[in-house]
Amino acid sequence: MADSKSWLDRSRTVAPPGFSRWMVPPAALCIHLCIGQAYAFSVFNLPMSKLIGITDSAPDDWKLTSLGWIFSLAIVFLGLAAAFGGTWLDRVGPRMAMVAAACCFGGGFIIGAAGIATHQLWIVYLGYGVLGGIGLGLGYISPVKTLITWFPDRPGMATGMAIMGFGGGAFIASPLSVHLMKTFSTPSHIGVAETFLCLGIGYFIFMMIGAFLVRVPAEGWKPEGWEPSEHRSAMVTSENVHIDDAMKTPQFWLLWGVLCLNVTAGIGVLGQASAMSQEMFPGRITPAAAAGFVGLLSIFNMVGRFFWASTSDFIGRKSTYMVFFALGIALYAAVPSTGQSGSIVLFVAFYAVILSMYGGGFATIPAYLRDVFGVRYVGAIHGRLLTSWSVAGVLGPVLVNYIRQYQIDQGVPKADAYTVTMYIMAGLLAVGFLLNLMMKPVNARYYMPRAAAMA
Amino acid sequence: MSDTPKKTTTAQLAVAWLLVGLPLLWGFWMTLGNAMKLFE
Repeated sequence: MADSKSWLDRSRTVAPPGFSRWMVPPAALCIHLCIGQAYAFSVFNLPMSKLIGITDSAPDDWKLTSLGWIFSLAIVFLGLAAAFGGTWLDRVGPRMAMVAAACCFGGGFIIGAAGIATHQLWIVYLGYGVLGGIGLGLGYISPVKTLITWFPDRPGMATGMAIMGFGGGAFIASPLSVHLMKTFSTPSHIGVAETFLCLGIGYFIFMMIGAFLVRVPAEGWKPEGWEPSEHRSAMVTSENVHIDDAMKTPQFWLLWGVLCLNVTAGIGVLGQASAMSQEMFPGRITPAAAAGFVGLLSIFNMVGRFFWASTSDFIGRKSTYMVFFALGIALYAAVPSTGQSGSIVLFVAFYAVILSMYGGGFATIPAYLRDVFGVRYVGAIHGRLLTSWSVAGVLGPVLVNYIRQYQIDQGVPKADAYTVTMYIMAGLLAVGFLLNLMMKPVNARYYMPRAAAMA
Repeated sequence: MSDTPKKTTTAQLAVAWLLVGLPLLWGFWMTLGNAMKLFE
């Protein structure tokens, strides 16, 4: 027991001389590729609504509306765990946090499997929703500070790689879950519980490999031949702000708004992409092609995470977000005209770029926080900022769905029902542009004394 | 912490990257196949 404790201890994760920092991104990816499964949770909804009836839903089967709460709970607990677990993570180090994330996320699946096997929905809520959600939150923020510390020369690229994994996790989970359910299903049984069990064990093992691989650099370590630039931008501080003080600064709330608005614009579209494409191009985009459109958007969502975060290392975080907002406004405003002109190619291209910037927003924010608040509490500050994701997760889909419905109720043809929504999204991005424009360096009175920051 | 130098080998790096790269490539390939339906 003493050994296992010491293995989890931060001191045991300090890299020996000669350790390659390129071992750390795979460790982070082991975590993010697993927790990215959350994006693919919807593949379980329909099978879980037919566990008793098998071919059709029976009266005692779970309703889709009740099943929707599993994912919603997971996202709420993701936000809570990221917000409140950040300071703990900062104290105990990445390995302990990764192990906790593996236990919660893998354990959440296993408890969920028990709930499905006994047909007790509250156990599934408790398992995947609460415990799995905590695993999601801890896992999401666990490698961020470690990667930034290992790659002070390319923090955007480093965190972009990990957060790209979160986007890519759904690519793996979706076909894998479908395959497992097919394997475990019989004519009289749907194999969701067995699939949950397999995924729980598999994800636990894979995340533990990440915990095993992760290392933090020794005190004072820096990349060979790299010196911090003396002519760094005014937007990049070499000081540190304490997490409690960070939340008192206008910069924290400006960035909270920036992330929230960027995510709101993207997430609303992502959820409605299939229906929107078919309604804007009736008879030309079939349901199968619409599914392909959703797949294409998720590819751009993933690739954008790496591309934009890496680009931000060269053009700066503020400029990167300026591009997101300025280009986003132009593209959202132009989307209705693609429907009117019947240009599917432009419609797809515009949304591909929009979704790349949605993913890019997630991936660039940790490095932006590092620039503004310093490295010391960046993981914990990032965790608190992710509450904006929870808000956007509700705001985006509500805006798109309700405005569309209102338009249709007013007699607007379905093909044109998204026009007002697109203009509202462009308006939200204009507000985001202004918030980002207001970003200035943090007032020096918030900086921690150097000795305290080193402690 | 150990101060004994312990150089990471190319093989260790390759294994670590393959471990995450292969599943990611498989998932990417499957999604790309799905996305291609848009152009059929």
